[in-house]
Amino acid sequence: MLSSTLILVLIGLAVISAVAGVVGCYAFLRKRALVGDAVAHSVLPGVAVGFILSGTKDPFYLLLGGLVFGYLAILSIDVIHRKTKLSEDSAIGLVTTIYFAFGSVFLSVISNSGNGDQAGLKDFLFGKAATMTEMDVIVFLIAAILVVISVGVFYKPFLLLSFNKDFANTQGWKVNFYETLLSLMTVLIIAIGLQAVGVVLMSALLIAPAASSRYWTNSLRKMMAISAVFGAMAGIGGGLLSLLGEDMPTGPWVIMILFLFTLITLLFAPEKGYFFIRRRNSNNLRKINEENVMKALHQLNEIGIKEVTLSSFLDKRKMDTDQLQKTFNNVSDKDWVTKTNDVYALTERGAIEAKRIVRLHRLWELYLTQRLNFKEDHIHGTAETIEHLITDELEAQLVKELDYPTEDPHNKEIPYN
Amino acid sequence: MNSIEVHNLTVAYNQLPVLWDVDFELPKGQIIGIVGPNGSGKSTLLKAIMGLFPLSSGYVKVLDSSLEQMRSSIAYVPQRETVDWNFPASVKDVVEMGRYQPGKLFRKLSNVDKQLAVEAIEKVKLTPFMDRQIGQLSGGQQQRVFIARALAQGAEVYLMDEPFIGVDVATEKAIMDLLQAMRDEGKTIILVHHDLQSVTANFDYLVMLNTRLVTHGPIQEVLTAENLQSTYGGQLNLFSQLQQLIQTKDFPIREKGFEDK
Amino acid sequence: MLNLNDILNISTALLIAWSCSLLGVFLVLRKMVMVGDAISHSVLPGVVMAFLVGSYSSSSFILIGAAVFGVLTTIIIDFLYRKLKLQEDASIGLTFTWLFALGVILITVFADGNSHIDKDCVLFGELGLTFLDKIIIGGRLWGTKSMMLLLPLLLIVVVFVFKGFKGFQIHAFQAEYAQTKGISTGFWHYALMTLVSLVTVLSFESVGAILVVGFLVVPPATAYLLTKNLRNMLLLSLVISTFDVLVGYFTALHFDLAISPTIITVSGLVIFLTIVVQITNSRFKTVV
Repeated sequence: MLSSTLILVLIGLAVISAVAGVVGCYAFLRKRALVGDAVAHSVLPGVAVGFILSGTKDPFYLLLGGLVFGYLAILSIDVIHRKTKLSEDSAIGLVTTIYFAFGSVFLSVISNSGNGDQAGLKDFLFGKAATMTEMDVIVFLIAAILVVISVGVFYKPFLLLSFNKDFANTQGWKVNFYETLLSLMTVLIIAIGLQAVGVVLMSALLIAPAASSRYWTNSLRKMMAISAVFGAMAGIGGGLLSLLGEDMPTGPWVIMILFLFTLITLLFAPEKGYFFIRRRNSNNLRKINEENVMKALHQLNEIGIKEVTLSSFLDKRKMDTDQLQKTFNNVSDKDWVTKTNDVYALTERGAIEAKRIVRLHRLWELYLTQRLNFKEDHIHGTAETIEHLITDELEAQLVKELDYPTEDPHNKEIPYN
Repeated sequence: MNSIEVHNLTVAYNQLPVLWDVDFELPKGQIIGIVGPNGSGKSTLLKAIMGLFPLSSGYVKVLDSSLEQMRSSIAYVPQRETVDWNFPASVKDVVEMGRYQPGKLFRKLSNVDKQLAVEAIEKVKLTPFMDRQIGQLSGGQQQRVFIARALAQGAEVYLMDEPFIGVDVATEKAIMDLLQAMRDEGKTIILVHHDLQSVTANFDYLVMLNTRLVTHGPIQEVLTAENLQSTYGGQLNLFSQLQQLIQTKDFPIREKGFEDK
Repeated sequence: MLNLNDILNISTALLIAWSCSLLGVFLVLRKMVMVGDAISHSVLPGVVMAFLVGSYSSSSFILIGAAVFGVLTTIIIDFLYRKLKLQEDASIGLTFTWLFALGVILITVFADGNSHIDKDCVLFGELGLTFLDKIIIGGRLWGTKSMMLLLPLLLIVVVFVFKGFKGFQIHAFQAEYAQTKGISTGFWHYALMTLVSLVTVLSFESVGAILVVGFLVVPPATAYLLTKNLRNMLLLSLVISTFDVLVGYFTALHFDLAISPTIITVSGLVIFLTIVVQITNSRFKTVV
């Protein structure tokens, strides 16, 4: 049963995860994904100091402390990286661990004085989504609105800053101002999200949705939208999954779902996904095989062999038998060859296609020798590849640039239709 | 005997073919310049010869044998900006690396090794700076550290990637004198160079490269206006369109498994 | 007055700190601190499995299995970065958050009814509890179980770092150049990653996942700021970490604070002072 508390928790998780997804896009594009992790760790001492100074558990003071220390962490990384010979990588590592240790010391002070609870550190790391209040959700919503507004208003400078900081600078944008704004936005989201979802999830939320969404689009607007949706779905899914057992931490389950999204993305995304690349490679390979067979049939035609079987073809050309069978099936599906009793012969359309490949091969050989000063004995290998790539448009350019040639460098005829 | 022989070398970087069917044999005992515009594959060529890049096609021979057999006879001098000069090492530390050998890294360097390093430092005139941290040297001195490291190795063939970049005129001359002295001892120096101004006087032999090999030969023969035009006159339109096509379609740069009998 | 337990605690802390400060030198020089951070988080599922299969400290084989997760982490990061072209920082961040979360879920699922797992102890470590597993043979105290594993590890680290100095040095300075000399860069890379994995696994119980990175990065980074010679950097890193452990331990004892966080906080103060002095006064760039 979905109780009203649960619905509240799910809404809260969805909102904070979506907002983190949006903010994470900038961190990701600016290659500062790990800075988010450092900030998340560095909020701990801020929360502790806020508690000690105010003497209350009032979320406002805890948040304020978190904001101050989170921003201080970003400044520290920047100073260490710019003013010493330490690399940014070391700076991030130093800040993450020292701030966190500092915070842990404070927590032990608090627990010794009998004020706080022992579980503080654990909640800080993994969050306690189950105890989310209406107030928390309202704060998340306000933060979400603020983020959406600033991302809308400052879309252009943020975009320039993320893709090309130097360019933004030369265009007269106040780069420092917008960088500070982005940093503050990141720190704010981390600080308010931490108590609900914990450090580890916050880091994952800033990285995984943004990294995944980048694979689906090239537009920043769409990227932020997709990232927000990924975040929200993972938030709700993780919240539901963590109901499976008692005392199940929410954060890790959200991360599992985020990771699932990332995995799906890496496998199925267009252009850069694993399966897309695999399909493209096998398409390339099929095209090469088909065109090679057609070319060979043409060359056999030239010496008077009009009909071939698999084995008579293999006498002339070396090729894997299964591959050859498959290729013959493909080209007869395309009506480029006819098959009668295991004997293959070029159709009229096939003859035109075969001529095209031979023509491209010979044109390219000519181009290599005439334009690129290649020696005649070195051109065949390259032309073997290029013949499959030359588009009709490139062919027209080639023919024109070579002034309608009739013979290739080996004095063979270049067949036109 | 050839110092380096490159046959049908094709190399792709991120699917983009950066060297295309390059084919040449280089003589021994000369200063050989590899020239070409930015992005013409000069540094890639050196790295491919040193086995740092997988080859899409072709092979490389060093002193008529395989690279593996000749590793100790060929020394690589990388570009200066490939290292972090804040690294805690002195001139001597870096030059001694020239004597490191695979399989002997758990053993101490012998006195002979150390002596050879000291002599190499002397040759490049860095003896007073022997114990200085490498970050506290000038650009020219840093370049000489790398050359000394190669000298310490005692190689026959030296491959140098842009040794004159970021170096003042006086140092450029000092380095050139050093290279000429090495050549006069029979060593072969092959260096990548982006600038044609100072080339003619000092190089013996030239490889002109622009993704494909434009030409190669003794400098007085190949340094013609026509060759310069083909090297620096920009990439041919059709050629670069095809290069892009190969990258965007992720096309195999060399096909396999289908051959004429 | 120092009692026996304090001596055992300090020894444990020093064994961890020394191994880490030697290995950390090469992480800092190779700009791979965050990969070290990722490893320390990612071994968690392995450590949990080690707990589940048997008692943690006695099953050294399982610990090696856990360390495999660490090396696997570097392979996954590399795969995401090189093969799938995901940018490096995101590859690191994705890998370790996922593996760490997996570890936490494993703990939660299997913690009930399994006496070997103490959830908080696995995550945060408790140096003050390591003295519990005393090894007493023939009436004499020989140490604790965790020391029996940390000591051989330190010896291996020392042998590798000082005997194999040249290999780590040339690889950290210029891996590509090492490769042209026929030196196997893979060997030195995975040697370092394996040792880092082992030390993080063994430190889990005493200092926890997050703070072990402190031992890996803070003393070496401080030493890096102060020296211009790699051997001195290694030695100085040892000295600094020893100082941090001693001062941190007694401070924690005196004020009744959590021990390992205090040690890291002390080391944080040391590097903070070093940086401040160096920025404000250029004469103190390097001392040795």
